Amino acid sequence: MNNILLEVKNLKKYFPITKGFFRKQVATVKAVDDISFFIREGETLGLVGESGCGKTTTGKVILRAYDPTDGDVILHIDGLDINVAKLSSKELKNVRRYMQMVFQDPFKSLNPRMTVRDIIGEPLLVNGIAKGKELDDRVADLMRKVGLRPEYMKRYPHAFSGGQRQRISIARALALNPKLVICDEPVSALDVSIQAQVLNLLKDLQEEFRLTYLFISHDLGVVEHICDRVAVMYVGKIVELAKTEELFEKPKHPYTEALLSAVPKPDPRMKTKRILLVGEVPDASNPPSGCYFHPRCNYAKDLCKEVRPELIDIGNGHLVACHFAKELSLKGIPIT
Amino acid sequence: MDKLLEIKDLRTYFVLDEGIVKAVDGISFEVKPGKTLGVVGESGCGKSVTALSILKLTGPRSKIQGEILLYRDGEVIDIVKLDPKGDEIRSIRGKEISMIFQEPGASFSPVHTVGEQIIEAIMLHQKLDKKAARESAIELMRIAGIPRPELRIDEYPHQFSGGMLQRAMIAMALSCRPRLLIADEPTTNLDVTIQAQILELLKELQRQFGMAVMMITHNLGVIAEMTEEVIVMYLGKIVESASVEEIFYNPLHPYTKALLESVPKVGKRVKGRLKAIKGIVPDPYNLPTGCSFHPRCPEFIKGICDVRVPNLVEVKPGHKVSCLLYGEVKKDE
Repeated sequence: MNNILLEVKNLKKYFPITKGFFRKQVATVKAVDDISFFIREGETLGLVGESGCGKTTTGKVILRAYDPTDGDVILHIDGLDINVAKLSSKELKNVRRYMQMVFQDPFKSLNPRMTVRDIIGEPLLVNGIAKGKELDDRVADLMRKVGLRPEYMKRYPHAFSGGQRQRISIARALALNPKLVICDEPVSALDVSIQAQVLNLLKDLQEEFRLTYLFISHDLGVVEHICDRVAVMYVGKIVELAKTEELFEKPKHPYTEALLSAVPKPDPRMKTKRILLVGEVPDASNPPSGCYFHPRCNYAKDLCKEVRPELIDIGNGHLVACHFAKELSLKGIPIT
Repeated sequence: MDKLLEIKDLRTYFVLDEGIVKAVDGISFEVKPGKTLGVVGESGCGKSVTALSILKLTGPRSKIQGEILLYRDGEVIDIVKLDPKGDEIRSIRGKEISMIFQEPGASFSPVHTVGEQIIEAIMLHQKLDKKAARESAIELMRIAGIPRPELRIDEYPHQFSGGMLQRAMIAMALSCRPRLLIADEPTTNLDVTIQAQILELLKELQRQFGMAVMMITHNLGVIAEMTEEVIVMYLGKIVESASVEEIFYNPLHPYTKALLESVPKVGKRVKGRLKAIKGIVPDPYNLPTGCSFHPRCPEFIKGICDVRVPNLVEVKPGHKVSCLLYGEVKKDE
């Protein structure tokens, strides 16, 4: 078993809702509410859930793009245990290079006024690693690694297609030899035929550089393909976390079951009866009592309305937050 | 066989300063009453332009050629010949053929209530007074699965969630009981659980109203689940058309095959790398010679595919494919 690279403990991120001239706080959005997980070196952990469930906020808090409200983010690098959540902004600068992010929309995440050389080279320049001719060589090398031609270095992002832009974004993330790359929906904005190219590239780079990915996505097909383990989030909390095969074949949380059954299967002969969830994701500033999922859950009992279930290990590293995880027999998707 | 809509050699070109974009380049297909036709392809393949051409909504810089025949009570109307601003097309839009769009948030006016917008659509086509139209709008919203429609009718679009807004859009589209509903990526921006709700709703409404649906999407799962016949488009042309079973179990065109293989599917785990389609969709101003898929095709034959343009030929009953590997192309046709 590999070493643990990243450990997230009881992480919380609350956003205040303010009102009026004096910005009086009227409510709190618990975007990330007490979540804990770890990622091993070289592993890909998937983070799935519906929009507004806190996936992206989790990624941003780990990188300290947002300051956490509470909790620890511990990075184990070269025998050191660095608590990213507690670092001052000065100390943070040295640690940031270990963690990078690839964003969803390659049309918004690249500065249109910078050439590809400047975009990919900026992290190297800022950190004083290379400049001048050496910088050009490093950038050319990075471009080759992500499958772009170094001759295009002087071009601006508008000259590239969506898939190529996402490659630029990946090259920028790799410039500082990071350990952890947070991929926030990296293929959602791409065409289907291009998605496969970028997914293959991410896999190849992971092998070559022993990268560790936190892979945020709502596409369960993509998650199943690329992730070793998957965490399912619902209204700021992790409701289930397990190995990919196990989560897909034997889900233990009713929400995971419903998510799996909601995905349209690309097979016209598989006309299965689907579990329809009523209603929508609740407002994170005013979540339901007890288990957050109970108003939409088909198996909810009285207990669920009152007591919030804890995330517990039901064996083999399979974590579930459901009172009836052991009793329910839920339907997964057999993996062939 | 009964037909609702027949499209013959439709060509929609956009004349721009940079050149001519052949967004739709000679496609023919038909829509049968009460059936669901799926149109699948990547962005820029002409799916949406096909839909907009049917309603003549392609704008002043476009040129539509060919025939779009709408069969109505024994008479045939060629939509291509209609004035895009005339009364005739307006009596078809929304009444005979309705459309729902990808982004419900962008399709509603933010300064009018949802109710006002649905009522407007009803009053435009039906001789109802305001009160009756309001009743009818509430009923439609209820059918579309919006809870407490009598209250929500007076709310503005920003007060609705994405899924609810798409339901309101469907209510509006169904207000005149159209015979054809064009759904252009109706669930693309929605979460999977909401997508499932909307797809089930569309199926249910189709059963209730018996309308035909043209489902435009790039999501193969949605195609497999919702449709009976499928058209696969690439760069403005139909490369393959067949029943949904044939497309998924016996795809013939290399593009269809590659598309099916390149998508990671839930329940079918591919070990290692995915089979990606190489290259990117070419620049629309500068299309490849011969078969437009040849630069990306794994079965490319030099000297044939880059020279000759394939035609859509029927290789099996009901299964048409446009590829030089199948059937001989008549010379200089």
